This record gives sequence, C-alpha cells and structure tokens, in this order.
Amino acid sequence: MQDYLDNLITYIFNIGTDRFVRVFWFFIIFEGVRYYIIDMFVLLCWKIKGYFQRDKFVVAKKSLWKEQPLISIIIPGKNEGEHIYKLAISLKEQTYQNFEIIVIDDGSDDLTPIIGANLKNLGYINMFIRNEVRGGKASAANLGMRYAKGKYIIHLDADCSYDRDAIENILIPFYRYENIGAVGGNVQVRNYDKSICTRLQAIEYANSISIGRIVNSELGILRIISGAFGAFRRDILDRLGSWDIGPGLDGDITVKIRKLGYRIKFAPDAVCQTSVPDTFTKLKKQRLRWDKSLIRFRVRKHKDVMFPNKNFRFSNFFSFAENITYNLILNAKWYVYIMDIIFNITSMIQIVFGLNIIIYTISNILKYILFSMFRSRKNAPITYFIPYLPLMVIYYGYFLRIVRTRAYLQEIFFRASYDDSWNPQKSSKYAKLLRI
Amino acid sequence: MEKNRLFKKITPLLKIDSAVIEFEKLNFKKINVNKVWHIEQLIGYDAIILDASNLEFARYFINTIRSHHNTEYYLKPLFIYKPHPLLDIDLHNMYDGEYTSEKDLPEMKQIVWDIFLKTTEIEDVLSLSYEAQIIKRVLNYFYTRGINEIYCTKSTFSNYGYVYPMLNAILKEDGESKGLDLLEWAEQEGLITGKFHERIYLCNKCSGGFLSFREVCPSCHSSDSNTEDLVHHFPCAYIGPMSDFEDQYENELNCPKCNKNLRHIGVDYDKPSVIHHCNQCKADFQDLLVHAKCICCGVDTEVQFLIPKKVKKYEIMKKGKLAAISGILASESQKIIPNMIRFDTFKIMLQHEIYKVKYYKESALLLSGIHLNNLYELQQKIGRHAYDRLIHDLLTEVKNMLKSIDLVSIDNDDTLFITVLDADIQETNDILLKIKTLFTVLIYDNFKKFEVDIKVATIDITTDNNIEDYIKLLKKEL
Repeated sequence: MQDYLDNLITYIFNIGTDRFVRVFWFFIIFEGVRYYIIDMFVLLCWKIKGYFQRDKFVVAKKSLWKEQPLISIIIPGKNEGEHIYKLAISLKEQTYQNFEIIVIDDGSDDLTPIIGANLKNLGYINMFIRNEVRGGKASAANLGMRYAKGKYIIHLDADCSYDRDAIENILIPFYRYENIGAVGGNVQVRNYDKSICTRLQAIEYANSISIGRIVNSELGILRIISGAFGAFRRDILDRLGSWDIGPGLDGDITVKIRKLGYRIKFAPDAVCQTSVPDTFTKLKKQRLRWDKSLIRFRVRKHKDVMFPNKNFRFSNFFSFAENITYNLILNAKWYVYIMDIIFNITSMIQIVFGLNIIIYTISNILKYILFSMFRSRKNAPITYFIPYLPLMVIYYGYFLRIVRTRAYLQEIFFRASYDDSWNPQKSSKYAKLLRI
Repeated sequence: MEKNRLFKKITPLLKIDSAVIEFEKLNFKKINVNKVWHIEQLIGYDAIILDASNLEFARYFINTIRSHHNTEYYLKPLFIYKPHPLLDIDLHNMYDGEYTSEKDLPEMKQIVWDIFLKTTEIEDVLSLSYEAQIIKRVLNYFYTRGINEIYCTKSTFSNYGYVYPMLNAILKEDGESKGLDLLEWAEQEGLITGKFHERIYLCNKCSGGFLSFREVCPSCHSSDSNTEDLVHHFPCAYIGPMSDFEDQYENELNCPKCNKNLRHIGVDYDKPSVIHHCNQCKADFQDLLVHAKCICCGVDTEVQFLIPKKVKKYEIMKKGKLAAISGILASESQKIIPNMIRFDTFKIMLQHEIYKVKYYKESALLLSGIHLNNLYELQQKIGRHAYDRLIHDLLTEVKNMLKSIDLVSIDNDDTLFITVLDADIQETNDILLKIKTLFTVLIYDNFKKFEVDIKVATIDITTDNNIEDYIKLLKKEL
C-alpha cells in the first residue's frame, strides 16, 4: 500500500500536461467542459439575469395572485392510500389555495378506496375516482385530466410532500415568461439520511435536478418534467390528448409539448420532497426502467426532432442531441476510454484508477460546494454530504453507468420497456405494436 | 296517509240509521252509515253490530270506539255485518265476530257474556304513567277477548307501515310512532315478550316509515343524475365516460384522443369503472349518497341518520294478564332523578318514620300523593326527553317548597309521594295546594296553555298496615 501511494504521488508530480490529457481525455473533453465549465457559466448568467430581472418576477407573482386561476392537482396512483392523507394535509398548507384535488385510484388492492372516499367526504380532496381494474399511470392521469376544471394542471406523486409555497412557485413561470407550456418542480430527496444509497441519490438529485435543470432550462433544452411535480397548461394537454403509455411518460409529455413549440421551464423554488429507493437493488430496478425511456422515446418515438421537417426546431434538436450525446454516445465512449486505458496504459492501470478517483472526488467536492451557492433550498447542510462525495465516483461513474448500459441494451435489442410490469400488459402490447 | 286524513274529514257528517236487536236480555245496537252519530249514543247497549259495507266508515268507527279512554266504550263487544271485502286485516282483532243473520245471535251472546265477565275483573286504576296507561288499555282489551298474542300487520294506514291492534288506534295517527317504544317498555317490564319480526327504519323527524330511498349527488343532494361507464382505450391510454366515445352519426365507439375505432372489449378497451354526472350542479362523482326522503314530512336525510327499530310479535305474559286485572305496578328498576331519593329508599325511610310514630307515640303521619292525570298527552306532544326534563324541573320546585327533612319521591308511574313531617292535615293540604297551583301555572305557561289535570290525595298512616298497602291505598284515592 505504501508503495502504491509512493508510486501514485510520484506519478502525479511527473505526469505533465500532455500525459494528463492523454490519460484523462474523457474527463477533460466531455465531462469537464459540459458539467463543470458550461454549468458554472450558465449558473452565473442565470444568477445575474435573475438579479437584474427581479422586478419581472415580482410582476409575474402579482399577476398570478391577481388572476388566481383554478388549478387542478391530479394525483394518480395505485395503493397510495397511506400517502394521500399526508399529501392532502400538506396541500392544505399551501400559500396558493385556489385548487381542486383529484385523486385517481388505479385499481388499488389495499385500503386506498376506503381512505380516498373518506378523504373526499371529509373535504380534504375534491374528487376521488376509482378504477376497479388497473389501467396504468397514464390512463389514471388522463382520467383525472378528463374531469379537471383548472386552467393549469399540476401532476403530483402521492408519496411526495411539498413546500408551503411550492404550488405558487411552480405557477409563477407561466406569468413570468412567454409561451410556457409546462413547468417542472424541484425534486429533492426526503429520506436522504436513511442509507448510503439514499445519501448518494440526494447528492445526485442536487446535481442533476436542482442544478442540472436550472442549466438545461436556461439553455432551453429542458426535456423532462418529473411526474412527482409538474405543472402544465391545460389547453396544451387537451391538444395532446394528455399522457401516453409509459414507462417514461413524464419525459414523453415534455417532448410532445416542446414539439408543439412551447417552452419548458424549471422552477427551482418549487420544492417537492420524495422518497427514493433505499437499497441499491431497488435503485437498480428503478433506473433500469427510467433509462430505457431514452431509447424508447428519444431515439425511437420522437426521433423526428433530429431531422429537418416542418416542425423542426433547433432548440429541440439541441435538447435531443445533448441528451443522446451525453447519455448514450458518451456512455458507449466511456467503454472505449476504459479499453484505451486497459490496453494502452496497462502498466499504470492501478495508478490511473487511483488518480481518476482523486480527480473526480476533488472536482465533485468543488462542484458541490460551488453549485450549492446556487441552490436556495437544501435538504441538509453541505457538510453533511461532503464525506460521501468520494463514493460518487463509484456510484455515478460505475454503478449508474453500468445500469444505464444494461437498460439501453435491453431496450435496443428487446424493447424491454414494453414488458415492464410497471404498466399493465393490456396496454403495453398495443404501445409495442404501434411503436409508441 | 291520505286515507287516514279522509276519515277525519268525513266523521262529523256521517248519518246512520240505527236499530236495536234484543236477544236474551242483551241489547245489540245496529249502526248503519246514515245518521248523525255520537259515541255517547252507544252507552247502555251491551254490544254493537256495525254495518261494515262502507270501508272508510267501518275503519273510522272501529278506531274511534277502541281508542276511547273509557272502558265502557273501548271494551264494548263489537260485531260487524256486511263486511267490505277489503276490510283491513289489521282490524280483525278489533272486533269480536261477524253477524250475518239472527242465527248468529246465540254465539254472539256467549262472546258478549265472556267479555262482560272478564271486564268485571278489571280494576280501573287511574294512577299510572303514560306508558302504563296506554299499555294497560291494550292489555285490558286483549285480556277481555282472551287473546294472548299481539300481532303486527303490514298496513299503509300506519305511519311506520305496521299496525298493532288497539295500540295504533289509541295512539292515533300523530302518536302511533311511539307504539314501538311503548311495546319495548312493556317488554322490559315483563308484561309481554317479543319475537323478532322485521327491522324497519324511521324518519328521524316524524318517525314515519314511508321512505323513498334515492341515490343522490354528494354535492347538491339532487337525485337527477346520469350514470355512465368509464371506458379505457388501451392503445392511447385515453379514459373517459362512454359518451366521449359515442359517435352521434354512426353507431360506433371512437376514441376522442386517437380517433381509432373501439372494437373488442377486453382486447382494445375495457370499462374499469362507472361515473355519475349530476344534471343539477354538474358535479361528477363515483360515490353516490343514499338518502331517504320521508313521504310524510318531506325530510330528506342520509340513511345513517334514520332511526332503526325492531318490529316484533308479542305474547302476553302472565304478569301482563295480571296487569290487565290489577294495574301495572312500579317496576323493579327504579326511576332515578338527580337530587331525589329513590322510591325504594323513600319507602324504607317512611317505614322508619312509621316505627318512630309507633315507638314514641308521636302524632300520626300523613302520606300525600300527587298525580298529573293527563300528563301523558303532554308527553305525546313534547317527546320523552323533554318530558323527563319537565318532571325533573317540577320535582326541583317541589323540593324547594319543602323542608329538607320532609320525604319526597316519585315512583315509576310518575306519582309523586310526599310526607311532610311534623305537619297536621291543614298544613299538608296547604302545601299540596301550593304545589298544585305551581304545577298548573308552570305547565300552562310553558306548554302552549296545556291544562293539566292534577289529582291530590292524602291518607293517614296508622301502624296497622305495611308500607305497600298504604301506597296502594293512596293510588286508589288518586
């Protein structure tokens, strides 16, 4: 071990620029530029712009309160009875109150029907609709949409909870910007202190959602609104026929709205807290489902945005190109990088691996501390997560990358998302048949 | 309901022809629907033969005499002739046989004599509670007829759909809903024993049993709603009511989202649920409320607020038959009124006073009783709860008028017993007069000028009899 450390230190001091670039080209060219330099630059611009345009935000807020449109909050789910009560209570605490709550029970086989009916009778929710037969999340959301009366539709997950001003904050962008079709909320991890797995996900969410979506939103390439917290213009959802069959329906609806020419915004102050998988096994299952949607929806269903046609828009093109490049192509490229290291720098492989961890850890710590300055709402002090940042190299660089690769391969070769039990087979088989 | 009202309207104008059949020293008064008729005209006749060809008149007549408070009328033997084929089954126990021709008279004579004999056994005890007074009249009737069972029959003439012979007639239309409570009371007293027949639900306002059950909108409570299947189209995940899919021009189901034709249930679409649409307030909902609208008073209420009642068939117990003869005695369970000694304690204390009189040769004790004879009529109007409060308030006033050492209590028949210690007859009578005046004024002022009939009596207590005998004696005086 002492020898290994001596060799590592010697290597660091003698590596030189050329050699450093040769060994860490993947980090420098792709990840460093995109996730550190561009992100930092955009965040600074966003902060400065926000400061100079703060009056517009105030005006937008006033406009919202002046109009006070009716909002329809749709909560589809199966066996979510135990969460609905807490959710309804948290919604009662909202600063913005002109909303109706529609809960759709998608064929629950527990006490959800009784709980839902009681909450309806007690006035905690406005409408409780039960489907005796499970139809899938899309159909449940569409049913809620069918009976929604609001000008804006907010889609929530039953197992989430919301800041007091979350509803108000997610609506403000509709009044702040022109041509907004939908607004995504800021999803944070509620159970971050439950296990190593949840802590790592909390760091990941902070980077990829709380920060990453600010950047994507500012660049105009935001391509997903979390099902846990998203607001939509009702007229647009009516035009689109609402949600299509999942999994991955939240990304799909966002792309459909973009294709109509509307902008998608992220509201970092509209904070929602959710519980994430607390074991790596559960996390793997969740991510396999999520990651397949890149192939299913981006590469297959909505591939038309990549090619010139009457609906072609550069913003959509860049959004897709960035997504496919960084998640699909570079994912494959990473394996090339690994092969390159294994075969061309074989003798130094252990040293390079160690240095890799050091570089990523240092950059992660710097990034986390710097970017935390742009996060107005944190679920825990920055120092709480710093000890876990070295593990992010393994978690993000290896674990999630391998899971993602597996998901892509399953979807590319077997269209596995259509067999996912998350959606009932009666509708998945049609989605597969119709290639949707 | 309508029929009942009709009887009331026609009664004062009825004209009857009457005639008398004399048979072996018995006078049978024939009643026909022809002449102006008063119930007092029946006095002196041994039995009645009623022309029952007119259904409404027959019903009215039978109910009128059976509901009369005087035994002379309500126990009078009654026969019918020319019965209307639709004469209600619930009246069958309310008359004593049919008269078709003179050849029936010997048998009728026997029935009349049997009733007479049993009627003479009955003691006319006045000092009784409301419940006891009503039940005693029912028991009297059944005892004199030798009937051991009190059957209920389904009837649209009853507010709650069932009729108990005699009981419903006595209580009349307004009070008949209390009949079930009275029977329950009688069962608790051990006078009758019941066997479950049916469970019914009554209006919580008027105790009516004629209820219209309707599914109503949970928002506006209107029953004007449509029900539709929810249809889920699998390929595009659209889900909505059937009307969303219906094509007005072609007899087809088309998906409003993807325009595809729905072909095969279970294959490309299904119906996971139903939804209701209120045509009044336009609300959409799945859980209809079930409301019951009372046909009698019009109150529309949720079914969980209806009053559940058991309808039973009753058998008269030995204690019930004895009650018919000698009156209903206070039950073992004592009436408990706050700040008032229980009646059994009162009796012990009184017994103690009697010993003192005997041992110390003191002046004789006086036992006074006060009974409000027609208070049960007030109870019918104001309900049991308010009645109990009234009794409590009256007793509080009485206690305030007496010394703390005086004995005062009330038995289950709501007869007030007072022993004013160290007082002669004059002083006692003065106090009783004050109490009587107070009761009269209080009830008159507070209950829409209700004139209460108060009986007051006082007896000397010597040392010869036991306490129960004194109480019995006093009740007879009342």
